[in-house]
Amino acid sequence: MKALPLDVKSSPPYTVPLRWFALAPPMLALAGLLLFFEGPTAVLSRWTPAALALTHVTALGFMGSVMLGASVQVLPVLAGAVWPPVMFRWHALPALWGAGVSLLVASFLWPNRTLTVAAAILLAGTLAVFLSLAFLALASARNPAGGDLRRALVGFSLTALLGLGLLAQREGIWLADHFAWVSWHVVSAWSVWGLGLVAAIAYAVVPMFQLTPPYPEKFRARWGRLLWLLPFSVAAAMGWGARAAEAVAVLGALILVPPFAVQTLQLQARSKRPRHDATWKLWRVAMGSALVAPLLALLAAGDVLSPWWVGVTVFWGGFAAVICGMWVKILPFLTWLHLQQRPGRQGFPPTMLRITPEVQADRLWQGHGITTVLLLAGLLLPEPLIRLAGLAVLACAVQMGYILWLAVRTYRHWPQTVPPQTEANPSPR
Amino acid sequence: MSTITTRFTHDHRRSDEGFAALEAALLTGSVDAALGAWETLQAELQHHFLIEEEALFPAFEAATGMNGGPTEVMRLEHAQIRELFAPLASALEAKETEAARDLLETLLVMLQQHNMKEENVLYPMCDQVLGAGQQEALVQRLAANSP
Repeated sequence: MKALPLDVKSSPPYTVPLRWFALAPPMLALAGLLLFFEGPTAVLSRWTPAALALTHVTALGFMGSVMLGASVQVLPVLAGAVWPPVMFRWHALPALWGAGVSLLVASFLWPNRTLTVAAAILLAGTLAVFLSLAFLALASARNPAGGDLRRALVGFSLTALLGLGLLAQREGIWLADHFAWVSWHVVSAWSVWGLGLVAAIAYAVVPMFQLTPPYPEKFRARWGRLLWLLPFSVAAAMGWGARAAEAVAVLGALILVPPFAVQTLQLQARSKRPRHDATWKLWRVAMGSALVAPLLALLAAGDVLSPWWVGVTVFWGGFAAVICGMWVKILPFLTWLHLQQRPGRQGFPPTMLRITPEVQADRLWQGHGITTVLLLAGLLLPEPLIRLAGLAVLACAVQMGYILWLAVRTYRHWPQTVPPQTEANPSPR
Repeated sequence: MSTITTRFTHDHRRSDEGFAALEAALLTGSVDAALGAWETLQAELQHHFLIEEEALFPAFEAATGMNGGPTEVMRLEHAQIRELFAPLASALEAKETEAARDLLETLLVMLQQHNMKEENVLYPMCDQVLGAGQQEALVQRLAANSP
């Protein structure tokens, strides 16, 4: 029998989003190691094999895994979507995705057609299955959140198709203006997919976690649709060459990104919560980065500034900050929720701050800040700062892995590890 | 017509003020103020849950024939939320500020994700299937005896 919206059966088991999340720390660690071993050559150009590997292990391996895992979790909650039951049974999907990303990264570092084809098949196949199930899940969702999520996933589909086209170009299967296609691919990735999904989640979690007023309905209804002007206008400008496509992308970013960042910052400023935790701070950093990134992109397009700072601001300052902010909130909550729902449980499960102590969340926030400074400063003093930044990224990956391990350990061992006196009194020690 | 969504969502937002007041009292170490804020918040939440469980959910179930599914899950989540009330009250009475902050954080996130499901999915479904008179009676009951 098909599950109903909000049905118990429509809610993913604990391990399903966790399998996706578990890919993020090792992928981020790989990015850190790449930076450490490549050192200054990583910032020389965005077209070097190392830079391409770094970009994709971060975008697909780290960010993509978390975003797909988050989609599994939020589709039922935000939109009342009902996942086809196979989504909760096909445990190989995250593993195939991780293998595909690893092969793609290897194909950038050691160009080889077999590696490229294997990576393309794994990534495209996994994504085709995931997105098909997601669109089926969202088919009955008629609310605004369903529309926001549907648009973001269409954006991911477009990005993936353009990425496949680029791989085909690289292998000489198909000839086109490669650099113009890169602009189209990149703009689709960060705008309608990345920012689209962040916004869909922000509309719910910023008011929810930070007790702010809701986003204005008119803004929400229009901005997400307007974001689609970016990939469309870049596609239209491609006829005039790569420079025109890049110029349109930068202009579109300057016009369309700041309204979302400003709106979010304004709402955060009206938060009713008297204390600002790591999640609040990381969201502030992300929105600040979203304000600065288009200006940096303008300077980079005019060859005044290295694109390195644009990449750092978008990837690390923006998306990674949101991911770190949600990491320290969602993992303890999901763990607590599933422990509380565990059939036949005895005693009171550990609450959120016992699963992820604030000191661990603060360490991730501090690690993110130090890494941001090192990554940006790496342009000014590449040796040794880029290598140090690589180690800082690695440290953040370890911290994320530790927070994940704390949550999973609590889930697996409770209530065996909870002494009787603690069950009676759930206060943290 | 979105009477249920508008009015029940408004009631959710009212409890946000209670959370903020309680958190502020805990931060300043004012236990009496925290206990007062908690009593108000708890009464508001209990009243809201009661109207949903005794009136809104049965009306939705009668109109749609859905006895399981959304309303069953919402009732289950009400029980999960209520389970946090006693430990939180105990921690406040025992002046265990850190324990109270931890329980409040869990309660806040649990309640907000529950509210999100209701606001995005269940209330719009109620607006679709319930008649105007029925909706008006429900929101009047929500407003009546509201703490």
